[in-house]
Amino acid sequence: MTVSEKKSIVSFIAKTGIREYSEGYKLYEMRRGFGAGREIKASLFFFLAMGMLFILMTEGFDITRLPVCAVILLICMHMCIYYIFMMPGKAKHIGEHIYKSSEMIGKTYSYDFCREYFVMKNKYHYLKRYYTELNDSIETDEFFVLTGGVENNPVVISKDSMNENDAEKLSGLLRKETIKQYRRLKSPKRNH
Amino acid sequence: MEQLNVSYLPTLEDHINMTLEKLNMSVPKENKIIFRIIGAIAVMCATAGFIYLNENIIQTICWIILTAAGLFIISYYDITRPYLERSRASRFYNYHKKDLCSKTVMIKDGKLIVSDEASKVKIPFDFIYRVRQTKNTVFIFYDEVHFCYIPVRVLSEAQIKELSELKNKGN
Repeated sequence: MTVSEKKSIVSFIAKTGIREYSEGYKLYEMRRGFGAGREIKASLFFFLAMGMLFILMTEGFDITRLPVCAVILLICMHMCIYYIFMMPGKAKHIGEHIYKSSEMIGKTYSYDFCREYFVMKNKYHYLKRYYTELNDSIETDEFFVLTGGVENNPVVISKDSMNENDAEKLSGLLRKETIKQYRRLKSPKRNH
Repeated sequence: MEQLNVSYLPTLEDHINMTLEKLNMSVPKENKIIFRIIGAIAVMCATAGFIYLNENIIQTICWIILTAAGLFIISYYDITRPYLERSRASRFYNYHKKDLCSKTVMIKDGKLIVSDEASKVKIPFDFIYRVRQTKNTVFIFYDEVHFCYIPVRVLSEAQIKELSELKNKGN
């Protein structure tokens, strides 16, 4: 399974660090994983909380008369806060755990991006994916995230080890070949 | 160690079994016990409230909601979640049916080799994070989340034993 140099449009060698992987994994989970639709879920809990608040208001906010409403109100508010503020942090934390537990993710890979597919490989792992299989093709200032295939595992490519020319060529290629799936997002702020 | 060489094409039943057994593995037993206790408390409180603290229609509705919530919480990990996961797994399999290809799992020369049409993993035993066997599936984890699975139906007794030894070599 080899890719001839003539077919390859962009080729480079890259290694992904724990920070890029955890941020990329967070993006993947928020779009395709357990975080997908979190805004809708948070909204539902918010409206339920407002309903409970309204019911309590009719009883003059006497929670001893309606303890159930008060408990449901607290739970709904907690769920809103969880979905909006805590869930992204949890996804990033999971990404860090995955990186630390894996012997393969932190290794150096060679990438070859061709017209219809890309190949990533090293001594331990070989993966070929067609652009038509991709669900997401996300670019930030620091990395690319490509998700798709049957397993839908994210591939996070750090721009740190790429030169500027290769990064621009790859960005142009992904914009062209993955029109519907491509997104350009701002990088998250670094917490030092 | 005997060389393992197994090829299989995952069926719908394999995929559903894998999904349900992975769900079972990922949820701690304590969570299930806590959910059942909380659900039981909710139902008991709702029953007591309905009998002793029932002055108007709004309170009645609240107690009914609490009873329903309690029953839902009790049955969540036993009925609701498995049902949802089974439906999701079935939809996923039917959607990806044409993309699925046969997988080959080999143990050769001290390395685990998992390959299909699109990918190949060839790693020493040290790289394996965990091996778990359940009723219908053997899971080989590369890290906390990513894994490959082999349905027990395609394995012989000797091969299952070999994979158990792999678990000891990997840890």
